[in-house]
Amino acid sequence: MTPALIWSFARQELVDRYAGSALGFLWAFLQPLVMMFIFVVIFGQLMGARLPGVGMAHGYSIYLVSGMLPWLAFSNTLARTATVFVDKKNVLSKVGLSLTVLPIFIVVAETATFGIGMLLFAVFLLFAQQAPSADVLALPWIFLVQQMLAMGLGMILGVLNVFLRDVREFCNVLVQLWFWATPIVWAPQIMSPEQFSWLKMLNPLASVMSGYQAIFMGNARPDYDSLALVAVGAAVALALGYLFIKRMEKDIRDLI
Amino acid sequence: MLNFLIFALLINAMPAVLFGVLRDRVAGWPMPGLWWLSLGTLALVLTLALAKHSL
Repeated sequence: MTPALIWSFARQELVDRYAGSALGFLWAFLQPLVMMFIFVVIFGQLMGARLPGVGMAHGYSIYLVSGMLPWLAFSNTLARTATVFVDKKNVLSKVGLSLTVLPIFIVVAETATFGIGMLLFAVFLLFAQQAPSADVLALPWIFLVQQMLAMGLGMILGVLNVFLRDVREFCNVLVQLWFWATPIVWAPQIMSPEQFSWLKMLNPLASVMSGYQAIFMGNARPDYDSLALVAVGAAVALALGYLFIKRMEKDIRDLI
Repeated sequence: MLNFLIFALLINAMPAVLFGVLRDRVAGWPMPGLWWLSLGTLALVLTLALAKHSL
């Protein structure tokens, strides 16, 4: 698969998502905008939710959005990759595309959506007069770590989904449980530092999301040591996914 | 910050350049994807270490 073909699939993915709607690609901007509006107005202003130890007016809203935008990219990448071979069976049965490279188009499409969300978030931060820390320069690499993890796990689930269609539903349940096990809505301060260290060991996304929140809240630094460990773990997941697909490639092509 | 940007670009350009130059040769090796993944992961970990010390 050439980069041009991956880009073409990614573009098609974004076009299909908003196909038939009157506003079309404008929805890619409207959805994160509405999400931010809800978080800022409902949570921040009406409910007056505050983070423990943080006095700034939009603190909780910034905390929520800085965790939610990468979470959406992660969960969408995981869910879409887990069904990619079944969803693309019409193409795969006609053209001999590489199964190991195919899911990259999902990462590209989700990166574009994440980029749009981050752009709107940057505008909000400008209005809220909240500057991110210098660690914002490392954001693309933190994003890469989470997307590698999502793609690796998605590839493993994607192979299983060809043989057992329950995997799609399992993936939805997994994403829901994972969301609440990750500090996105709740703050790590609700648990002791020892408990949070345990959580970071058990849930790699805890380090990743805390990294984003540290960058945008500007009150701490991302835990780069944990992130490096997550990067190695994500690479292992990706390698396992790659090997699993290579091993099952013939069966996948026969079944779909 | 400038140090981070320059060195991060250099670190991450390395696997990209190697991929461009050695792509066909590595394609003949067993599991070529895993070699590129290892190289990319090395660049990623080095970049994170660089961020820790220079930002």
